[in-house]
Amino acid sequence: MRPYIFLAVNTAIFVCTFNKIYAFVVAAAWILIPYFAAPLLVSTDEKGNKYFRTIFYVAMLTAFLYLMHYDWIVIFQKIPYYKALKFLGLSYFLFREIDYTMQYGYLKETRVKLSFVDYFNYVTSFYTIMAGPILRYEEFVTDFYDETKAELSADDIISQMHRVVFGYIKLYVISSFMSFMSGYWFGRITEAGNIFKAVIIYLIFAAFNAGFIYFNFVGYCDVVTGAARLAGLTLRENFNKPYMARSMVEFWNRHHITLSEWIRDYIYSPIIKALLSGAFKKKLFQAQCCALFMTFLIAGIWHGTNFNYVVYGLLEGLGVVLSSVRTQKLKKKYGKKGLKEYEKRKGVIIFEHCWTLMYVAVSFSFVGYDVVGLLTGVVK
Amino acid sequence: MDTKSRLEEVFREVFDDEEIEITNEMTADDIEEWDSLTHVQLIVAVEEEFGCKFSTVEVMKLKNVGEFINLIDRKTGNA
Repeated sequence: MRPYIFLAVNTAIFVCTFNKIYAFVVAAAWILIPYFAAPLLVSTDEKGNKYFRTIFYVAMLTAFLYLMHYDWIVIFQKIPYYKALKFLGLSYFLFREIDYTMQYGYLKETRVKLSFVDYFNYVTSFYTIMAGPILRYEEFVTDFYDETKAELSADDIISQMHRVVFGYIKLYVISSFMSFMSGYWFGRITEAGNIFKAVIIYLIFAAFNAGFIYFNFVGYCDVVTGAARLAGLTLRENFNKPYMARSMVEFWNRHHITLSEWIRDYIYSPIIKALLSGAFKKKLFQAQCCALFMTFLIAGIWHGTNFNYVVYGLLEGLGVVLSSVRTQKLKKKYGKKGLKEYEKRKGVIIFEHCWTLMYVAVSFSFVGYDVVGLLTGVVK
Repeated sequence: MDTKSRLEEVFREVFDDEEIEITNEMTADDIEEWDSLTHVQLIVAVEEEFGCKFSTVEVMKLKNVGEFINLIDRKTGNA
């Protein structure tokens, strides 16, 4: 009975998000096709299978890029686009559907439940329809049918409700304030008069914007995780004090963790394996840097449709590569044990915290604000 | 040499530590340097040593070193 209750609620909420009937048709195809294609993708015929798989994923990505309507992809400007086709949750559906289709062979082998109801609940789960945490299919289904789970005690219920309420406060009070402040300072950058003042104002704006992104996303995750817990679902934790990180690599291990893990498994791993068996044989470190850069660039681009997100992706890629190169260099210089001592120095701790915070704030300033437009405006 | 000792050699090389001794129950939490980046490095080194290929999903599902040894044996036909 429980899966059908979720099915009904998920469907009802999903349908409510549609503006036009066309979006409904596209969304239905977007959900149904991967489900029915998954068994075909793992059929026994190795060679035919490989072609089919390639065609499937290329088609899926092309459709995704078209539906998202990326501003800077010229070819999409030339063909007609119907805004009504886009629907809520498209980007995150993509992650879950790739996970499902990629894992299908394994899931079948290990006899994980694969019914359409479970798949539909996984993809459209209303707790996570708008954003993360990105669960894996196996994780979702195992948790959904876990009968060993202890019933929530009165204390649990209170603490989860607290989490939801505090989540709303982060979302609607703290993050709204940060958003107001960042908007205010962003508007004042062009009125600064001289470049020095402009940079200071830009940094103030960037700091508020970074605060906004953190409280907005953490608040949202608190609300959905707490609410899901009350309905008996466990969502993985998505944040672990990200602004306490001392390097960009560490930052991405603490911020939006489920996304970092997803891109590690489905973007980074295939890229580095391809590089190591191809152009970068025996050049492990170079391959690692190259793969990291490409992974974060792709992830950055996925975040939004205008050119600012390309810059954001480039900066994130550069940030993690710089951080890996630095660690590598320090390891060579001090040795493994010496590095640990080095990391305990007060000056180093302060520098690393400041650098990471600043780098995050500057790179995040391209998220949600047209900083590229601002910069090109200045140049003109 | 059996799979376990060969794998141990690979671990020592990848993590640059001659004192590592692997056990079946060992996980990424037991070796400080074992993070998502060195994990991929480890997989590639194992593939080279044992002359086999693992899929992304197979690698993702490994819960400890014991399971890794089983996977290698299955792939190389030792099991």
